[in-house]
Formats: sequence, structure tokens, C-alpha cells
Amino acid sequence: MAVAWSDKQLDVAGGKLHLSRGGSGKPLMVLHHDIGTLDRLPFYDVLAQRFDVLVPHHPGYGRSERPQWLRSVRDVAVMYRALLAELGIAQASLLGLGFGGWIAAEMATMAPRDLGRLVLVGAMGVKPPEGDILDQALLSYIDYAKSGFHSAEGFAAVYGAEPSTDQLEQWDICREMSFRIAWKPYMYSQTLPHLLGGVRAPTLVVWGDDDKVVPLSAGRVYAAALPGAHLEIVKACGHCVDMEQPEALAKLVTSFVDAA
Amino acid sequence: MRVWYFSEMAYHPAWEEGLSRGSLRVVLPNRNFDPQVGHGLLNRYLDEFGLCDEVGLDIMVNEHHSTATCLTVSVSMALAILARETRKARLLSLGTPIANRPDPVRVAEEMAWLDVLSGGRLEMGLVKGAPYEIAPANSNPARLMRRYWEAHDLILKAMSTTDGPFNWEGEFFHYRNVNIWPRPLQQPTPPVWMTGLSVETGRMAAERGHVIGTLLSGAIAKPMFDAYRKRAQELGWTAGPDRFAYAAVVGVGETREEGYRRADLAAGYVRTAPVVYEPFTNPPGYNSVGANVAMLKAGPKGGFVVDRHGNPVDHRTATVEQFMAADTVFAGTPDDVYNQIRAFNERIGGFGHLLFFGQGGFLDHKDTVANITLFGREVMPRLRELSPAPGTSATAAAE
Repeated sequence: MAVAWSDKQLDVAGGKLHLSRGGSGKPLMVLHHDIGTLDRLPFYDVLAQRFDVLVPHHPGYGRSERPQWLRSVRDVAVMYRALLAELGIAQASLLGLGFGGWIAAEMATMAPRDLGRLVLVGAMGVKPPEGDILDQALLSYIDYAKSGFHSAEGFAAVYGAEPSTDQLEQWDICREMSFRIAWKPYMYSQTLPHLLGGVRAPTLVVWGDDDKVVPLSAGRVYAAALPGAHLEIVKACGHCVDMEQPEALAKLVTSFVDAA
Repeated sequence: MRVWYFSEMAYHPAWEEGLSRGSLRVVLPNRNFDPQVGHGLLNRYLDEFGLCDEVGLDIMVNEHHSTATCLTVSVSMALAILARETRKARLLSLGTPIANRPDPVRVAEEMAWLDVLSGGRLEMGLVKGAPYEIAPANSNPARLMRRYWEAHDLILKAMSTTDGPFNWEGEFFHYRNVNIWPRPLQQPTPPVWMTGLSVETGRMAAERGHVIGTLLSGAIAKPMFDAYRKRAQELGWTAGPDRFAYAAVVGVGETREEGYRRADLAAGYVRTAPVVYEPFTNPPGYNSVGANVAMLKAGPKGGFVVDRHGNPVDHRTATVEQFMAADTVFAGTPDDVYNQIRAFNERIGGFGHLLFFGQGGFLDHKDTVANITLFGREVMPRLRELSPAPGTSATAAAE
């Protein structure tokens, strides 16, 4: 069944946020990676069969305006809280992908009772006890996007073997925005781990078994710090589980969020 | 015209290794630096700077980091030594990469200290810095130019305020009590220089009356200088040649062949400087989104400079003759070099400062001394007549 998606721009904190929305059911907000998101992904279509899926473009990424004042990932989380309020949505579930996982975790700490379920996939945001989060300042942005995948075929299936100039431009804009809000320490918060214990939403932590961007040790930190969380590993999969193993991830997410 | 001798204090013994790895900068491990060899080179290079004072040249130093192309890590340290070892030469720092400095007030302090120590011989460059300086500085490339201008304003205020302390609540810098000691000898500040490659930078420098410098390409210098002159005119003042500086590799010899040979060796600097691991060549935010899109569309073969006839010149492989056609190199006998500089001066609409790259790696001490000495004796006196020497203060020209 084809999903009808709508796209619109909403005013949040003085700027325009781009929001794609499709499907019906319980509200599920999907927070994309630091490399932005394609407008449509098979993964989003599968989720929309069961949920009211909301895919905002992060402020300064994709088609959302760049707020010049934005300084931190926590600012983004507050903006998304405001977006949900603007839409009149209570008890949304959050699905955070990589960098979006960090935003989702921040949101979950803010109003612990006003959330459905929380799914963190290869989430940034905490310092891995072993290894480092792959720093995109140290490699080309094409190589960075490729390192999110277990296999070259997985990358090519989404972006093509040679990404378009438009795509390169998008990645360039994304990484500048990431550096504006998550430069140092790179892609993690020193305070977030201390706040995770207050989260009340049941949480599922998912990691690709070949995540070259965020070490699995960070997933274990999340699983240990979030009350009642458990960790699932997806096989033959890199950091971008949503793009490389969309069916496996959709199955995990659907059964977990539906159980609420 | 004033002439400022300049050397990056290269560590050329590691160039071959750097070239084979595709990067002389940032990622070349420092085990390729032999501290004993470096000890000899640093002292040799400082001796060569010292010689300039005796032959009537001024001195320029710069700094780079994490690279085999340049051992100068701090303009302040190099000039502190040269302030004591020279008596007449003016001392140009070109300059401090202020957007990469976490503490602009510290920059103001060090520059004021140098100005006092040298008896007011300091010329103060406040520069953006090359893109590959971002990583070694651990500096955020995003919002770099906004940070640059705030640091610039804070430094000049710190140097020129005599009834402080003042506080500073900016976007990037927050100070509760700024009151530098010593304050500079030249009032209100030493002359301020900037560097750039673009028309936009030319305009911004004109708005502040600073000296603007660029390097190694007449095709880049001309539109930037023109933009400066036009903007100055719009603001009601005329920019003289003393607002413009141009850096070129110069090889001078008793014979044309000797001059070319020296230029060819010194030009090794130009051939190696751009060899850097790709991710560090254009960090996000260093250029505007529009400029990056244009570069992406041009593809990896988008040329850097063109010569006087519109032919692209690849800095990594160019011959002395190709470099000469792009005004990157002036070379030959003293007459040759003088004539080339005079012709360039006319093409460019007049420039008051030649930044004389007189050493660039493989040019040895004996040749470097001869290059400096011959230039000082045979070329410099004639260049003095070419255009008026600069005024005493960059800010004076803007007033």
C-alpha cells in the first residue's frame, strides 16, 4: 500500500522547520542522522503502515532553516519539544538514528512522563568507554557517509555508487551544522549520562554489529543507564541500520513501540 | 616600495616522505622531523633573517602548524628573537591566525610587548589562516569569519584602550576585565595587515584601512586590489600603494642562469605547500556554502591560478618560467628582477610592499645569503624609488 506523505514548514523558535508526515496510528517521531535524510526511505514507508510517522529535518539540515543562534544539541531537543506541542501531540514515541539518537535521548530526559517509547539506534551523545565516535573532521564527507555502512553495496543502494553533486552539497551543509552544535567534545555530552536515570519511557537500544561510527560500547552505556532498557544487535549491519537493514529494524521498532 | 624578506623556515629534509604520502601537513608523523637537524636549521634561518637588517631589508615572519613546510610555530616567538637581533628593520607578523586563537587578549598582549621591545618596529598581521590550520589548531571551522572579526575588534580595542579595564561580552569571547600591560608603543596600534584571496576580503580590508596582502598570483591580486581601491574611493579616501602587499618567490643572481637556479630551488616551497590530505583542504564553514557549491560543480580539476595569458598553472609541478608567467616568481639578474617587478607594479596598479620569498627549502645557506645580499645591494635601492614608502601607520591612512 503506497503511503501518502505530506510535507510542510512549521515555525519553531523563530525559524522554519521542515516536516514530512505520513501513515496513521500512534505518533512516532523519527530523528535522522548527521548526514541528513533522503525525503523518502523504504524504512519510513514500512513504519507508516503502523504509525503516524513524523520525520522533521533537523534545524540547519536538509530543508529546515539554519538558526544562526543554535549552539547545542540540547537546543535542538527543546525545539522538537516545542514542535510536538505545536502539533498537539502528547505521548509521542521517539526513534533516534545515530546523531538523532542523541537528540531523542536529550528529549527523553526533559519531560520524563510525556513520552511513549524510546528507540535509540547507534546513538551518539555519550562518550564511548572503548573507542571514539568517528570524527568527520578527519575524513572526507563522502568517506564519512560511506563509513556508515557495513558494505559498499549497502551504501550504493541508497546513494548510488557515485553520489550526486546535490547530495555532496547536502552533506557539506550537514557537517557544518554538526560542527556548529557538536564540535567539542565531538558528538557527545558530558552531562547527558547523568540525566538518563530520570527517563521513564521504556527504551530499546539497537546497534549494527559493524558500526564503524559509534562504538558498541556507547550502546552498552545507554542500555545500562536507561531504566529497563535492553540492547539488540543487528547482524551484517553498519551504523545506518535504517538504510542498510530496514526490514530488520522496522520489525524491532514495530513490535517494541506497538507493545506500549 | 618596501621589501620584506620572508622565509617559512622549511623542514625540507622531510619533503620527499611527505610527497610520497600525499601530505606534508597535518598527518605527516613528526618522527620525520630530526630535532638535531631542526636545531641547525632554525638557527640558520634566524641568521638569514638577521642578515636582512644589515642589507636594508625589512622582515616578515608567519606561522604554520603540524607541517614540514614551516617550522615557525609562533610569530611572537620568532619576532621576539629578531626584535633583539635587529636594529632598523621593521618587523612584520603576517600573521597571527586570530580565529584559531582561543584568547585574543593574549594576542594583543604579545603584540604590544613586541612593539615596546622593538621600539615601535612592529607591523601586525591579523589573518584568517589557511584551511589546513584548522585541524592542528583544534579550532572550529564553522563561523570562522564571524569569530575572526570579533577577535580582530577585541584585539584592536585592547591595544588602543588606555583608560581600562573594560569588559567584553561578545558572541564568542567574554572577558570581565581587559586591561593589557604593556600597551603598544605605536599609537593607537601598530599598523594592521590582513591577507586574502578574494574581492570580498579586499573590500572588507578597505573599510578598515588595513594593508592587504596576497601571494603568488597576479590573477588573484589584481581584482582584490582593485576592489580595495574602489571601496576606499566609495568611502571618500584614496588607497595608495602602501595599502597593498604582494608575496613572490625571488631568485636573483650575478647571471640570469644563477637567478633562475635560485628561484627554482626557492620555488620548492610553492610546489609543496598545497600538498595536503584532502579532508583538511576545505573544512566545513571555512568557505561559504555558495563557494563550496561552485567548487563541487567545478570538480577536483578546478584550477587554482592562471597566468597572464589565461593558462592554468599547477603549483605542484610548474617550472620557473611557468611561475614567472603567473607572477609567482621574479627571477634572473638584478636588472631582470627589477624590470619584472616594475612591470608587475604597473599591471597591478601599484603596490607598496614586496614580500620577498627568498628561501624555500632546498636553497642552501650560501645561496640564500647571496640571494639576500644581492637583492639588498642591487635591486632594493631601485625599488625604493618605484612608489612611495608607506606611511607610519595603517590607521592613519584611513582617517
